[in-house]
This record gives sequence, structure tokens and C-alpha cells, in this order.
Amino acid sequence: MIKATHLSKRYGPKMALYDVNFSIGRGEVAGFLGPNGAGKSTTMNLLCGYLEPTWGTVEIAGIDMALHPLEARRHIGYLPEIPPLYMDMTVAEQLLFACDLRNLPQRGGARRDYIDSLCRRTELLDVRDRLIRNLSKGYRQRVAVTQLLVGSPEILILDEPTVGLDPRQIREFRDLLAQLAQEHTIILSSHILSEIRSSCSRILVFREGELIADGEPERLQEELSGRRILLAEVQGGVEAAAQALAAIPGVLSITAEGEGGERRFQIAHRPGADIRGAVYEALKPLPCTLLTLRPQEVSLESLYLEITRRKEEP
Amino acid sequence: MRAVYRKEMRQYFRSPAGYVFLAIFLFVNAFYFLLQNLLVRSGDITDYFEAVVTLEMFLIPMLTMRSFAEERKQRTDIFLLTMPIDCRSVVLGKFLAAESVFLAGLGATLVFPMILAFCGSAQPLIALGNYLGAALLMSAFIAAGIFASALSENQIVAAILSYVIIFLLWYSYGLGAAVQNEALLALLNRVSLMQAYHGLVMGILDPAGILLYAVTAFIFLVLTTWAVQRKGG
Repeated sequence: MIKATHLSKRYGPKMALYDVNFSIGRGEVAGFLGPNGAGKSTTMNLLCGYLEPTWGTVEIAGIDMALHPLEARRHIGYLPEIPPLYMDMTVAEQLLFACDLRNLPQRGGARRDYIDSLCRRTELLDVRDRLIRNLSKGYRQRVAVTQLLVGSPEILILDEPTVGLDPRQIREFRDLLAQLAQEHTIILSSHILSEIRSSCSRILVFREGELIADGEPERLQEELSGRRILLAEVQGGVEAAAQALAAIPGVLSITAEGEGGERRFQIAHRPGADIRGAVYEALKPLPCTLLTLRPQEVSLESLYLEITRRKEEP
Repeated sequence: MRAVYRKEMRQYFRSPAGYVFLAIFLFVNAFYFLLQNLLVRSGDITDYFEAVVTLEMFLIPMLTMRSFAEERKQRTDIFLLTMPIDCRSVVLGKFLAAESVFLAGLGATLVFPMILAFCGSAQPLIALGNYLGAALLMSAFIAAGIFASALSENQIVAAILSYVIIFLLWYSYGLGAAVQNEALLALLNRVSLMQAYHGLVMGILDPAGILLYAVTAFIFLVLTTWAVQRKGG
């Protein structure tokens, strides 16, 4: 549905984006994650045709954005970080304007019904005749999202869509996003990991204009850390248990916590291998009892913090 | 293009901008008509047109300064430029809207030659030349103003840039005389909006003059499209 090939963007001497490659399939909800200035918004601006790449190509539904920009843009609805709304228009006028720009064929009553149906979906019916300047930030964001839906583009691109919203509005927005995800391919960006994680089936991590990781949240954790951790709680014979665990093939390292006759072992091992059976077999002949055996998540938060810290370090 | 045109017209008359422009425009025109024709009992509408044209030039940026500058300030330009609509249509829609507001004002002044005709001084060809000259000249200035608006997100800066461009376009002939270069003088004479205007107000419907205004407007509209796309790209 969306394909970026060797996408690069230079602003004067600064490379804002360098050789970014990815493709996003129909129905995916992809999240662009990264600190401010990582290249998320630049990538989005390139995808929707607002910016022209210095190198590389963007294909939207198989259409080259550089060759057929109008045709490609028909498939895209873009919501930038600051909602692009005309403050002196009413909600209905803004949506009608979007209908006109998308050249929707309906006129008069049919178009009004269409606007009403969109407003109903995003709970804007009560304010459809109010001036946008008189609406709260949450409502304005909702108008901007409704505007995206005009003409039902297959791809929705949302740049930091929850910035400035209060917690209740953020929750409402996430619910709306979940609804939209059933019918649209969605890309959204954020520098807040929890937001991306709660909404997206796939995460693309940007740092300093480069795409450094791409995958499902779970796989990404493994990919970024290069290891998985198994947690084993053992009672009695802890010294022998430690030696036996360290000898299991694929185990990278072992750390132990606890005092007396009980230990909590964190067994780091290579991703892709399930060593639970081997752990059980290794401890079985020893004079110890295995109390707990479960995988431990390497927190995506900590990995993300590590990535962003790397940027700040000289 | 129609969508942008309708939106622009709505914005002109939802905010004070359109009304203020028309009010000042009509006041200035009525004042000069009174001064140049009624008070001195002159039936020659050219006196009024020649006097009022320089003031009209200074009103044009009032009409055009917000055109793209405001879009950029409000970040709505990104909305227009990511919709399936050609940038040229956006520029043309904005130009035609500003042109319509100006022509509405100019149309209202048609009452002045009617008053002169009623008083027994009908000069239909001269009046036609004056109106055509004013309409074409201001079209070129409107296009220049819209171009200036595409260069900045600050309306005041856009207005000042418009004044500079309009001033240069209008007084370019004088600049040629100042450098005392005959070739340059001949060239500037050929492309001088002022020279072409003087021909039209005397009732000479010179196709070269008309073409000069059309080409000037066209060049500025092309430059505007380039500036808008460049800011985006």
C-alpha cells in the first residue's frame, strides 16, 4: 500500500532523512517512533507529497508520488501536528470544503447527509454549525480527523495526533483510532512509546534521520535487545543450579538475586530458541526445587530510552 | 479551483477584509470623482482615473496580503497541498477571488460615467478604455501581490513586498530614464505598465498593452505557483 525506497531529504547542508526503506501493507497500523527531530514528520510529509524527496521514491497504492501526485494523494488523508483548520469556517463548511477539494460528486442534500454521517461517526453533530475558532482543542482535533475521512482515503497519516489533548480526549481518540483501523491503513507518529504501543501493530523507530528498527512490538523488543530473558526461581542447591543453567546451549548470561536458599535467576538467551525444557532437564537431577519458570519481557520503554539516550550522548 | 475560489470569497466577506477594502476603495474613488469631475464641472473621466489609479495601487496589497501568508501562518497550506488538487488551481482560485472583489468595487464606480452621461458628457470609448486599463493594470498588481504573499507567512511583510514590487512595476520606466541607457530605456518603455496604461486611458485599445498586462499577471501567477510548491517542497 505504501512503499518508501531509499527515501532521503536534505535541508541545506543537513540530512533530515537518510536512505529510509520500508513498505506498509493494506490494513496495517504502523507507528513512527522516535525523539523530536528524528525524521518522523519529514517522512510523513514525504509520504503525503507535501515535500519532495532529495532522493528516493514514494509509492502509494502502486502510484509513484513524483510522477502522479494528484492520483497518489487521492488515496491519502494527512493530519499534520497542527490541525489544518480554517478558524473562520463552521465545522460543516470545513468539511464541505474538503468534499470540494476531493471533488466528491454529491451535491446539495446528498452532500449534507454525507457530512452529517461523518459528523455522527466522530460525534460532531452537535457542533456542526459552530465556528471552528469557538471549539475546544479536542473538538478541533476531531474536526481534523473527520476531515481526513472525507472521500474515505485508504491511507490515513497522523502526525502526533494526541499532542495537547487531555487524558480523556486521548482515550477517546484511541477509541476512534481503533474504529478507523478496521477500514484504513494507518500511520501515526509519536515520541510517546505507550501511545504507539497501544495503537499499532507495527513500529518503525527513527533516530537522527535513519530508520533503525522496524517490526511488531514484541519482535522489535527482541531485535533491539538481541536477547530474551527467562526468569527461574529456585529453592536449594543454588550454586549447582547456577552452574547447570550456565551450561545450557544458547544461554548468554545469568544473573542471580535473592538470599539464603532461594535464588531468582535471570537467564539471558538468544532469541528464537525456547530453552524452558532444557532448564527443567538441567535442574531435574539437582537437589533443588524449581518454583517458577517464565519469560520476562525486556521492556520496550527501557530500550526506547536507551535509543534516545544514545542520540543525546556526544 | 472553484472550491478554493468559493472559500476565498467566503473568507473575504466573513472577515472585515473584503468590506474594509471595498469601503476604502469606493470612498477614495468617490472622493476623486467629486474632486476631479463634479467640483470642477469636468466631463472628462480620464482626469478622475489618472488621479485615482496610484491610490488604488496602494489598496491592492490590502486585498492580497493574507492570501498565502495566512494559509502558511495557520498551517492550512499543508492541507491544500496534500489534497488531490493542482497547486496551479489553488493559485488561480485565490487570484480570481481577489480579482472578483476588486472588480466588484470597480463595477460599483460605473455609476460615475453614468452620472457624467446624464449630465450630457458621454464618452463611452474613453470610459471603456479607462475601465479596461484599470482592470488590467490592477490584475497585474493583484497577481504581484499574491506572489508577495506566497513569500512570507507574515501579512505585513507580504504587504511591504507587494508595495515594493508594484512600485518597481509602475515606475520602471522612470528607472530607465535615471540610468540614461537608451537600450534599457527602450526596453522599459516597451514593458512599462505605466506607458501601456496611459495609452488605454486615452481610449487606444492597443493589443500590445493588453498583452503586456496579461503576460505580467501570468508571470506572477507562475512565480506564485513555484513559490508555493517550493515552500512545501
